[in-house]
Amino acid sequence: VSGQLLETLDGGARILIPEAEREVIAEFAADLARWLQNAGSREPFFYRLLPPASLTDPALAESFRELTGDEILTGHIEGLRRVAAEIEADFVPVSRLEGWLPAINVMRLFLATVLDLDEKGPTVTRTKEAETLYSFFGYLSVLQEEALAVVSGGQDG
Amino acid sequence: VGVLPWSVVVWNDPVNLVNYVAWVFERVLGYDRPAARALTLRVHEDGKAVVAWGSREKAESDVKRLHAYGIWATLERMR
Repeated sequence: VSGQLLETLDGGARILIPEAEREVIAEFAADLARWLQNAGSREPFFYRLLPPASLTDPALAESFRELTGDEILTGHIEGLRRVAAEIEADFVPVSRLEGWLPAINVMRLFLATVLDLDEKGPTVTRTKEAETLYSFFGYLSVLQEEALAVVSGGQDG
Repeated sequence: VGVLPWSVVVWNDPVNLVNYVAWVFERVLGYDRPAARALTLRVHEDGKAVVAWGSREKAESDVKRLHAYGIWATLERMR
């Protein structure tokens, strides 16, 4: 999968994602936003979305989460909702594409947590459902790299 | 005690892409592209790297902004 975003000379990208794939991305982003809104912040699947701010000082990690957790989570939710709404467009300016990047990452982080991903791939049982999610994880990785290339002006890195 | 600054440590993980992490270091921490890239590779190869330091308030602000981008960062008091 590639060629989902085509950089344009007027500072943005044409979105060339097929309609069916746009629907999957929009539905997943909206569903995840809804779930994050409703789930308690102690949900284990939040591990990568709200990581501990200290590995050696539990009190510091706890107070940091108390102070910042809601705001960070709200940002994740708003970003997902923006992607769900904007993925249907034909064109996305760089300023909005920059907002997609952390939202795409939230989707990847969530999938990686569900799949218990390590360097070699998922460590959960390779069911059909897990394979589908892992494929979607890979798809989002390509999309994120293409978005990065556009916001970085087509330069490497 | 309380005089030494705090450091911001970013940890390697198998999920975040190298190009994305480098972009976040540019955007959030203000590194230029080569420095951001070098720092990202250090995180990847060494498992972690100090990416910023300063007062506790500054370090907390940096960690919060990195978490907003999905980067696993921690605070450490320099001893």
